[in-house]
Amino acid sequence: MKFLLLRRALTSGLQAFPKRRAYTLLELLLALALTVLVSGLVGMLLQIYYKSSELSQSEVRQAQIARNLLRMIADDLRSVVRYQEFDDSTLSSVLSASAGGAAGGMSSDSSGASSGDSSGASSGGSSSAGASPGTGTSGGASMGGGSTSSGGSAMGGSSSSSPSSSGSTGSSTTSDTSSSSSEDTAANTTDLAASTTPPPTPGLYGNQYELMVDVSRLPRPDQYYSQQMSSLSTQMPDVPSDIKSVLYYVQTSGNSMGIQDPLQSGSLTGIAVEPTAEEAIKAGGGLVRRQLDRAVTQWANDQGQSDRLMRTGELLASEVVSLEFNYYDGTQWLTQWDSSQQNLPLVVKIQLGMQDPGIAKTQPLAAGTPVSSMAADQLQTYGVRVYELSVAIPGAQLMEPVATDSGMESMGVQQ
Amino acid sequence: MIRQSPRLKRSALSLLEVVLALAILGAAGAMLAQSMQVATDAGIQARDQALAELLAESKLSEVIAGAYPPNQSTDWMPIQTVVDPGRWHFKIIGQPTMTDGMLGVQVWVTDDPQMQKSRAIQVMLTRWMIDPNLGLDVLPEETTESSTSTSSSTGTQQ
Repeated sequence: MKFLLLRRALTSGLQAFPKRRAYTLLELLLALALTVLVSGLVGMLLQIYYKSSELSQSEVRQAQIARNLLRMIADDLRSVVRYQEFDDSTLSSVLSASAGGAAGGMSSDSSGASSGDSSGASSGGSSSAGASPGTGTSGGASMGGGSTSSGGSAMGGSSSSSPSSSGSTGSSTTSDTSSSSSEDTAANTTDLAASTTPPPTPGLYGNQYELMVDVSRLPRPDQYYSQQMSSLSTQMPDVPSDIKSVLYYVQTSGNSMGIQDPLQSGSLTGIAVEPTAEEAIKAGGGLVRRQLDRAVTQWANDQGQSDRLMRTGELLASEVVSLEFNYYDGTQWLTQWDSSQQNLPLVVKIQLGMQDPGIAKTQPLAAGTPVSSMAADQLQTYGVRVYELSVAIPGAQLMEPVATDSGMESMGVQQ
Repeated sequence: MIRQSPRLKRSALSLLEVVLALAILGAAGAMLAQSMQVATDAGIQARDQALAELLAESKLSEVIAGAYPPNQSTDWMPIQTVVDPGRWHFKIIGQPTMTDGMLGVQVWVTDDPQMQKSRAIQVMLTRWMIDPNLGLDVLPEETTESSTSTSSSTGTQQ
């Protein structure tokens, strides 16, 4: 029915306008070509817009990630534990002074002998030397005090024995006793270094690519509630404490034993995400931050649970290709730092290597590649960007000088 | 059809009109692209600004730690970065303040020391620091005292 009506209408229309001309083939083709042209143009424009907006977005996003990561590392570095060995020189001086007083305080000879006895145990020698009236003028006593406060207790004690004896005996034998005491000092320090492992003091330990720093922070209230950790968990259990060891490093790509991205592996959501081609090359690489209680870290190290330690931590940013550190000790930049030997660095320079987000899609660089050793043209082809930040550790210059250095110094002065 | 019937002379678009329309479209697209370009530039500039701020902060903390003297000459000096080593420049200006012993330090970082670019990036950070010449930020008395006294003692010994 409808069709018939339509047809009638059409025929009537055609009859009404017999002279209405149709489109020619040429016009049709031209119109089609123009449509294609216009739509192509519009499509191209849209693509350009999309690309440029994505580019600017990813640039800003990358800078944001880099800045936040650098801030995070800097905050951890600034809150490093400023460990100072307990200075018992005043306490022991009081004790030895009272002991010396009890012994008699009769003559300078006896006080010298008592100081010689006490010198092996602690650094009380200097105080007894100061107590004896004859040695008060000799500067050796003050030198002994200086070395005890800066150095270890054993070394300070042995060196402080010399001025007290020098005060009691004549000045002719001083050179002999002082030289022998310096030999004692050397023997003490070498023994300390060789035989017994020194107690690892909290502080900052790192090399060019890794950094571990002991930070002091009170736990948040929610961290006091023990978390449900299954015994099968692959991560080290953390306990609430105010001294945490924080470790930063870049996990290399393709490391199946390391930390898994919880979003990628599906341990968080239950749905694993299929990796893209870019992510397959990156394969779990990226910046890792591990925060664990200091005692737990040491316990795990003692127990040899390094594989479990390696699975503990958070994969912060898979975008990070490399992470490098430099340490400034006041005169030069070093590539490693040991707080048990050097106390704290004045400045730590952090260099975070990331890839140009556009180039990373086509030419992804595996994480863990040291950027500083790459050639300039390689940096260019991979579009590597390096964000760097130097962090001054507040109060580091006020820390007491290094034990080994002051020992060497005192030896050098004496010889 | 029936509605259009009163129009007797129905004209099509001429080629000129179509070309004109295309030209206008192209111009509009170009203008939009320009604005997008501006947006991209802004993004890149934001990144560079962040980079410059990080560099300036780094330099300032190095000055505070004593890696650079605060009374540096006011010429632009290149910053040794891993990528684009000659791009960034810095200068450090240190001036005494109205408070004794305090030094005002300004760190400037720019990517255009000759001031030629229209959109150069320049970051300036200022802070006060204790004059390092006062020697307040090193360990006082003990070490110096001991060194002088030991030298005197060695003097008497010899």
